[in-house]
Parts: sequence; structure tokens; C-alpha cells
Amino acid sequence: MRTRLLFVDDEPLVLQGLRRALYAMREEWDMSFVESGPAALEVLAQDRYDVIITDMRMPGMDGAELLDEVKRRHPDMLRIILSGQSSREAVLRSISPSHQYLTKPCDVKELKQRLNEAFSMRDLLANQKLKTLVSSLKSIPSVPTLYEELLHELRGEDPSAARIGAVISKDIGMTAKILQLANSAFLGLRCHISSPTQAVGMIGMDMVRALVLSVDVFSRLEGRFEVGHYWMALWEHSVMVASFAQRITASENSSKAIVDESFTAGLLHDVGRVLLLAEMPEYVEILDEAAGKPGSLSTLEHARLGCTHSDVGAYLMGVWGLPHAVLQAVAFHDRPRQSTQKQFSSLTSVHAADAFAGALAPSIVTEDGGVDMEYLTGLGLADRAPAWRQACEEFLESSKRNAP
Amino acid sequence: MAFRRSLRFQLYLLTVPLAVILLCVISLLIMHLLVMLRESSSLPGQVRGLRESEKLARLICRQGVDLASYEAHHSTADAQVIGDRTREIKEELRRLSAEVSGNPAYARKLRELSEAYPQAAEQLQAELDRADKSPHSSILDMALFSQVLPIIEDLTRESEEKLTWTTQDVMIREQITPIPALRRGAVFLHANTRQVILAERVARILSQEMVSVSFHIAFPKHPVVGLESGIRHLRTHAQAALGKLRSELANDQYQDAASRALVQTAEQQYGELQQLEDQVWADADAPAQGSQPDEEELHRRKVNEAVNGILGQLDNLAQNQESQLAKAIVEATDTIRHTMIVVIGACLALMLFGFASPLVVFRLLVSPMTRLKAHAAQIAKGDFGARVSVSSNSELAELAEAFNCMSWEVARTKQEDAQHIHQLQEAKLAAEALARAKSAIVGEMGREIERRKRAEEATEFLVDAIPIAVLATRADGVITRWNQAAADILGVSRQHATARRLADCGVRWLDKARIVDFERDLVEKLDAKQENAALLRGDKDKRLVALTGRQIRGHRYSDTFVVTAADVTEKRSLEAQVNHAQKMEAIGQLSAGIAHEINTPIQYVGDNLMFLSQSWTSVADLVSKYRCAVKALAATALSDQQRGALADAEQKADFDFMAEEIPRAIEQAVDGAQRVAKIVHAMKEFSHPGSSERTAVDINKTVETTVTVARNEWKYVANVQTVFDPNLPLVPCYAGELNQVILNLIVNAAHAIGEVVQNGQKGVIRIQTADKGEWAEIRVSDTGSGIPAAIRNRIFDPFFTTKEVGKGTGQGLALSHSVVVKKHGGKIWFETEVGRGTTFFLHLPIHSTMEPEI
Repeated sequence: MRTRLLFVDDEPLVLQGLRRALYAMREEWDMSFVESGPAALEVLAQDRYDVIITDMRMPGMDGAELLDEVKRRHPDMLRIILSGQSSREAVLRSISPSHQYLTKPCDVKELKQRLNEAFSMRDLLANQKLKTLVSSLKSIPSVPTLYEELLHELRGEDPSAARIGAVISKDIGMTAKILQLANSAFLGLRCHISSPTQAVGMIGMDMVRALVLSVDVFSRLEGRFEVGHYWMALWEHSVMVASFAQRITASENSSKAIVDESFTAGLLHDVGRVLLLAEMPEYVEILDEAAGKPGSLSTLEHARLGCTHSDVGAYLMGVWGLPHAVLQAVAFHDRPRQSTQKQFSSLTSVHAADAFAGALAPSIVTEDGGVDMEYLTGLGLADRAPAWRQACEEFLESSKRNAP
Repeated sequence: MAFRRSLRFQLYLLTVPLAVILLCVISLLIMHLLVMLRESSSLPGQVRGLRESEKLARLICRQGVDLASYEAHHSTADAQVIGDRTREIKEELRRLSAEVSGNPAYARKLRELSEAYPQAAEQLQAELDRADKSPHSSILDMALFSQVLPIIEDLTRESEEKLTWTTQDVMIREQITPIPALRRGAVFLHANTRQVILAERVARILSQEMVSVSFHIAFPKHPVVGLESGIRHLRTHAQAALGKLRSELANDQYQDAASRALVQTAEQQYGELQQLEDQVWADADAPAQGSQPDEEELHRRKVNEAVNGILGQLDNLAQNQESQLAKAIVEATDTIRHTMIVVIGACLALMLFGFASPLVVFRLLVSPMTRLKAHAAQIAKGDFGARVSVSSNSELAELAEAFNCMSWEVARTKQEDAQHIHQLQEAKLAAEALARAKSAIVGEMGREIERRKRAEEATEFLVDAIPIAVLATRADGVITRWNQAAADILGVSRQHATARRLADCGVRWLDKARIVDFERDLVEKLDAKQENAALLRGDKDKRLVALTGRQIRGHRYSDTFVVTAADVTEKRSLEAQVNHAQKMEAIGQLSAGIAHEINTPIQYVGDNLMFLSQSWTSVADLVSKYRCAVKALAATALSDQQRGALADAEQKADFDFMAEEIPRAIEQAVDGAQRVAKIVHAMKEFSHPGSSERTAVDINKTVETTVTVARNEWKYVANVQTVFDPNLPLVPCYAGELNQVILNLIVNAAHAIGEVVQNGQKGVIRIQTADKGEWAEIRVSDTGSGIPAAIRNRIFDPFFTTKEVGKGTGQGLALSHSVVVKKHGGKIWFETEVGRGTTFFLHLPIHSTMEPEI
């Protein structure tokens, strides 16, 4: 099935330019071009589309209004803004309905790359319900205590970027969301950021405050008794994998940016499970059933959902436009050989960290899969595994010692 | 006078010891009386204590007797059994001896019996022992004894202590008391006390003995033995006590009838005790015989009688003592009262005598002298001629007469002198009045001068306290006043400036013509203004002052002009900064709008170029394929005419050229569009509209952006080399202002190079970033002219510029300094070498906690 795209811009020259530039993609994509919001809604009502790419500033219905409407009517679509304008007010309005924000002039190559990233995982999600779920997701719920801590800090006298970054770095939902905002051009930034602390620093405290307090980019987990223990276990596991991955990457003499990226990738590696647990009530049953039988989770997920939690998580990362390395780690942390990456990356460290966490600190959400030695041999890193494990053990020891 | 004083003094000396002795005696007496009263009041209490102990002793005695009689009853029964048995044995022996005398077989039997006798004796002994252990011997109330004994002990000890103390006390007093009546009273009291002590001792000994007797009676080894040992004990102790009593009495020097009677009573009691003992012994010697019930009853009655006798005696003795004691107390109290009356009377008499005798002496000696003294005082006051009459003492009368003569003589001389003195006093008063008038006039003049001086000083002080330079000139422009602020702001002292004109007063005006204009305006228009008069203070401190001048109107000093000069250097600098910031904000907004406007066409230019590039590849491929086909088919399929037309068209179109140039043209167009996009983006980034807070800034990117924006400034004179530290972390900065600082440094570097390069040569601007731990470092080096030593200290000063008028504002580096140091808490400095170039160093804190000063 070919991907169907709808472009909306009030400037016909822009549409024509795009049509010509993307002419080479005609084999893979079906593309339509309309000059206004209402026209776009009309087209969408008649045909199925996968992606809508719209200008922000248009007479009548502007981009944010259009996407709001699209989100309501066709929630499974990927919604992207391509705009030359980035006034603060417009940005804040567009954050909620759109998945990504691109600025003009936008290189066609970049557009292609982003769309490919988002759609590479889309085909894995056979389940329409899951597609809709991911596409209409506004935020992943945060750990309530961290959420409160963040609010407290933001409402305080003198909020500090470092402290806010530290709080966000501990939470899966907030980390994912802040990276979505920082990696899209929502806030006029055009760089790949993998560290939430860095993202907060670059976005600036005023904007962070506005995002959290006015736009509600974060949300907190509402009390659902039956998921509580899975939730906490998942969170603890994710933080541990993040720290492990950070140590492993550091032991490979990588730059600070890569080390930070590993931490983020580790924290987010089970984002699919978190998402399913929070948004899909029947997912608890799958976890309950898998709890007694080690190694059966992905089989069960396939049987019930048609895909695994890694697929769901990776799709979300793609849709939100998170860095490629993070997406790879989320998608392949439990099956690294299927990845196309053939050198040491965050995927490698997250995979190893996940395995070590399962062995060193088993819980109801871990599986004793072990490290895929064949994969490591393929990378020529098989002999590094013991050193990594030792680094993780040392970290675990020191954190136990430091615990009050 | 001395005579009189000494006489009175002696009289008083006489009376003082008398009074002292009197007071001593009285106080001693009163003390004694108080003590005696206290003692006599404590006596009844002691008597009560005695009575208590006596009662207890009696109670114990009675119990002892009851027990003894109870025991005696039982032991009598035992004794009867033993007596019967002994009689039986004796009877048997008598019968046996009768039988033995008539029969040898009886003799043998007798031997056997005599051998068996010890066995019987042993049996008897065992029986006695059994009787001894009979239950009635354990009925004694041990608790009674253990409780009562310490009470008696305490009571007797207490009363003994009290009495001893009282006695000793009285004795001490008696030794120092000089009055016989008191002494008698004390002796009497002492004797009574002794009696009380003795009585108490006797009672105590007796009660002790009674206790031990009852004790022995209560714990008999054998009833009779118990009684015997009890009595023996009693006797021994009574003997010892009596001996002690006798010796004490023998040593006592205050023997009297009562004491002796007491001893007699004690001896009598002892005798009775001995009698009782003998009787008991007699009874004990014949227990077997006295085993009839009436004998036993008799014995018990005797014991009872003896005990009752003792108790009765004790009663009598106690009553006797008590009444004697009461009598003694009454007597003692009476004696004390009498003594008191006698003592008080004596005291009064003594006092009367003491006071009366000086009175008599005074009357005889002192009174005439007092009169003489009064007379002398009259003379001293000037009343001469008065007479004094003394009648009594002849010596004194003579003295008075001599005194009268002297008084008369003095009176006469005095009268003559008085007239002279009066004249002199009048002359003196006149002279004094003159002097007072003179000094009043002088004082008033001095005060007026002082007032004026103070007013002058206050004005001076006030004018000096104004932080604005204030100076006054005459109508011809000559300076008359110059306050402290004028000296500070204009850099010339008051001494130096006064009496000169403003333009030539020593102030280093940078544009003297303006000052001359100012002075002229002031004189001609009576009102002048000069907003920015520049001057040099010291060697290099350039300041701007705002001058205003005005005539003082509506005052008698109307020929005076007042000029003020305020230092506006900082104010102008701030104004310049604000202007600059406003300008930048406007530029930022404008460039954001322009960026948006440009970005849309750039989008489709880029898209179309992309399309063209892709399309041309396909078209060129297609055309070359067509050409090959045409070439192959041309010879056969086409007519000559067609071939000719084709060749013409190809030549005209010059396809080979196009095939070569079109891709290049597209490539260059793409490059151009990208560069436009980059510049627009840099412009937008650079101006950073609305960045009012610190954000994490990528310094490397900032430098790159700024280099792009400033390209026009450097591209004709220099090449820019950038060396970026890839590990430089994000630094919290005010991005827009930091961009300004970097721009300033680049522009300055370009200008510095522009001064030295010629003929299209180019210098180098080298920009490096580095992570220096706490600091992020940015270095901007140029290969320009360097900074001359003379102005190195001034280059961060506001309005300092070496550039031509209109080219530089002199604000750039001052602004940079302010942004880096004040807003970011960083450092900025430079190293320079004339002819080689300059390097500016900029350090920004990586972990900023400092709040900016605004």
C-alpha cells in the first residue's frame, strides 16, 4: 500500500515547487496538493490519507485549526506543519494538534527522511486501533511524584534549568515529550538533541513554564490501581537501564553527547510498554499472563495485538520525530540483530543494559533474555561484555551504598 | 571659745562611760531575764517527758510481774511433780534400807538399785527439760520489748540532754552575774535542776532495772533460776547505780535537803530490793517444801506486793519531785521578777545622776561663757559698746569687765573708719558701672561678627554639599565662587579657578570654542546652555558635562551669574546603550519579518531547482539517446534536407554546451539559494528577538552565525578562520547581547586589519573557542595594527574611540565590557603588540548562578 500525502499551502508556487521536487517519489507516494484548510478537509473526507503537511499561516482556517480538525476526524494520520513563521503564540497553538514542525525553507531530503523514519515502523503496526492510539496520543503520563516536583519547581521563586532538566531526565513521558519539542522546529531550534537537560536549557525557562503550565505538554498518571505495581517496576527498570546504558557507553570512550543519548535511549527503551499500560486497559492481562512464563511476552503481544511493545514504542518515537539513534534503540533493544546499524551505538548499550538489568535486578517487568552474543560478535565487541557488566555491577553497588 | 568647748567636752566625757556601763548592765540583765524565762517555760515540758517515761516503766513492770506470776504458777506445778517423785524415791530407799538391814539378798538388791539411780536421775533431768520446752514459754511478746526499749532510751536521753544544757547555761550565767539575788536564783534553779536530773536518773535506772528484771522473768532457764538471776541482776545494777549516785552527790557542791532525801529514798529502795531478794532466795532454796498452793499464792502475792511497793514509791517520788519542781519554778519566777524591779530601779537612779551632774556644772560655768560669746558675736557684727554682766564667778566677772572695756574702745575706733569706707565704696561703684557698659558694647559687636561668619560658613557648606558643580561669576565672567563638586567634576581646585574666566580657568576643555560661546551667551542673553561639554580630567579620563548659566534676578546681587555643571558621562553612556538596544530590537523584529518573507520564495526556488536538477539529468539522458538513434538512422531514414535542418538546430542550440553548463548552472543556483537561506537564518538567529532570559547557547554556532552576518565587514580585508572546540558545553547566555559582543570584536578586528592592509592584501581574523573548565573561552585575534600603549587603559571607557568622527561611536567595547562583566559575570581582556595585532579574550561562566545587575 502506497503512502498517501496531502500538502496544504495558500501559496500555489510553494505547492508546485513541492510537487516538482517530490516528483521523483511518485513511485512510493501518492501526493495531493490543496490551497486551503476547508479544501483539505473535503479531500480527506473522500479519500484515505496517511500524512497531512500544512502551512501555518493561511487566510481563513490556519494550520493549527486545520490540524485540530484533522486530529478529531482522522486521528490515525501523521500531522506535520511546514511553515516559515514561528511566532511564539502560533507555536504554542500548534503543539497540541501536530506531531512535527518543519520550517521553510525545508530541504526535500529532510522531509523524506522524517517521513521515512515515521513510516518505517508504521507497517509493523497492523492493528489500526494501535495506530490511532499512537497518532492521537498527546503525552505519555508521568510518574505523579516527578510531575508534582516539576510543577513545584516551575512555580517556585527561582526555577533552575538544571533542576528541571534533572527532574525530566528521570521521567519517561516528560523526556519523550521534551525531546519531541526540541527536535522539531517548534521552538525555532534546528538540531538533534538527545539530552532533556540540554533541551530545557535551549528552550529557555520562560518557554518551558508556558509549555507545562499553559499548554499542558505533560500529564500525570491518574490512579489506576491494577497497573500501579507494573508501572513502578517499569519505571525503576527504565531508570536502571538508562544508567547502565550510560555507564556502558562511557566505558567505550564515547563523547558526552553519545553518553547522554544512551541514557535517554535507555530510559525510553520500554516506552511502548508504558504507553500500552497507560492507554490500553487490556494490556495488563497480557502482562499478567506473561509474568508466569519468561520469554513469552512478545509471543503473547503478537497474538493479542499483532505487534510487540517495541513496535508501538518505535512508531511513537518516529511519529514524534525523536533522534534516529533513540528510535533504533527503542525498536530493536530486544532483537538487536534486526537493526541495520552495524557498529556500536546506543542500541548496543541499551540492549546490553536491558539484559544486565534483568540479570542483576530482576522484577516483574524483566525477562532473563541475556545478551545476544551473536550480535556483539557481529560488531566485534564480544570481549567487551564482561567489562560492561562489571561497570553495571559497580554502578548498582554504589547506588545501593548511596541510597539512604 | 576653746575654754568653753573643752569644758563641755570633758563633761560629756564624764557622762559617756557612765551611760555605756549602764547600757551594758541593762542589756546583760535583760538577756539573763529572757534566758531564765525561756528556761522556766521549758521545765513543765521536761516534767511531762519524765512522767511519760515513768509510766512506760510502770507498764513494763506490771507486765513483767504478770508474766512472772504466770510462770510461777506453772513452775510450781512442775516442782510439785518433781517433789512427789523425789519423795517416792526417798520412800523406796527408806524401805530398801529397812529390808537390807534384815536380809543379805536385800543388800544385793540395794546395790543394783544404787547402780540404777543415775539412770533415774537422767530421766528426771530429761523430764525437766521437756517441761522447760513447754509452749507457755514462747508466748512472750518479743515485739513489745523491742518497741518499748528504744522509746524509753530516746525519751530519757532527750530529757537528760535538755536538763544538762539548762544547768550548764545557768551556771555560766551565775558565774558572770554580779547581783547576789540573781545568783541565788540561779543556784536555786541549779539545785532544782540537779534534783530533776537525779530523779530522772533514778527513774531511768529503775525502769531499766525493771525492764531487765521483767526480761529475765520472761525468759527463765528455769522459773526459779530466772527469778533468781533477774533479782541478782537487779541488785547488781541497783548497787552500781546507787554507788554512782552517791559519788555524784558526794562530788556535788550544791548538796541540799532535797537531794539528800532522794538518795535516802534510793537507798531505802535498795534495801527493800535486798529484802525482796533474800526472801526470794529463801523461797528458792526450798522449792520442794513450799509446793503447797497457798504458799505459792503467798509467794506471788509477795512478789506483787514488792513490785507494787516499788511502783508506789516511784509514784510518790515522782509526785514529790514534781511538786518540788513546780514550787522551784514559781520561786524562780518570783525571784526573777524581784530582781528585775531592783535592776530597773538602779538603772534609773544611775541615769538620773548621770544627766543631773552635767546640768549643774553647765549652770555654773557654761552659761556665763555663753553670754560672753554672744557679746563677742555682737561686737563682731559691729554692735560695739554693749556690756555684759557676770555675777557669779569672780574670775569670770573680771574677764567680763575686761571684755567690756575692749568693746567700748573698739566701738569708738570703728565709728571713725566707717566714714572713710563709705566714701571709697561710692567711688568704686561708679567705676564698676562704667566697666560693665563698655564690655556689653564689645560683646554685642563680637556676637554680630560671629553670626555673620556662621551664616557665611553655612552657605559655603551648603554649596559644597551640592553634588553638582556650582560656580558664580561676575558680569565680566570672572569666577568668584567654585564649590567642592566643581573641583571634583572639573578637576581644578578652588584656589586655581577663582579670579579667572571659565574658558581659561585651568579646565582642559576638549572644545574650548563651545565654552567661549557659552560665556558670551551668558553675558549677552543672561541665559546659556551647553549639553555636552567634553573635558579631560587628569590625563585620560574623558568626561561629559552639561553646563547651564543664568543671571540671578530680582536680587541685589543681579550682577552675578550662577553656572552649574553636571557630570552626564554615565547618563549619556546609558542613553547610548538604551538607544542601541532599541535599535537592535527593531532590527530583530524587522529581520524576523524579512526572514519569513524571504523563506517562502526560497522554499519554492529550492524545490524547483531540485526538480530542474533531477529533470535535467533525465532530459539529457533522453536527448543523448535520441542523438545516438538519429546518428544511426540518419544515413538511411532521413532526407538530406532533414539532416541539414537537424544539424543547423543542433548547432544553434549548442546542446553539448548546454549539457555541460545546465547542471552547473543549477548547482550554482542551488548553492545561491542555500546561501540566501543561511544568511536569512543567521540574520534571524543573530537578532534573537525577545530573548529576555538566559538560555543555553551553543557558542560555536553563535560565532558562526555572527561571522556570517558580519561578512560584509571583513570580506575585503581579511579571511576568517574559526577553530571550534567540539566539546564546549552549552553556556547560559543572553544570546542577543552575546551576538553583539562577538560582532563588535569581529568588526573591530576587521577595522584594525583595514588600517594596515593595502593593495587587496588580506589579513587574518582567527576565532577560537575552548572549554576552560569553569569558563567558556572565545578568542578573537587579528593581524592588525595593535593598540598603542598610551590608550590601552582607555579602550573600555565609554565614548572612547580612535576612529574618525562618524565612523565609531566609542560605545562598542564599553558595551561589550558591560554585557560580559555585568550581565554574564564574565571577563574580557586583551593582549596586544603594536604592528603584530591584538587578541581579545572573552570568558563566560559555564555554570552561571549570578543574577545580572541591570
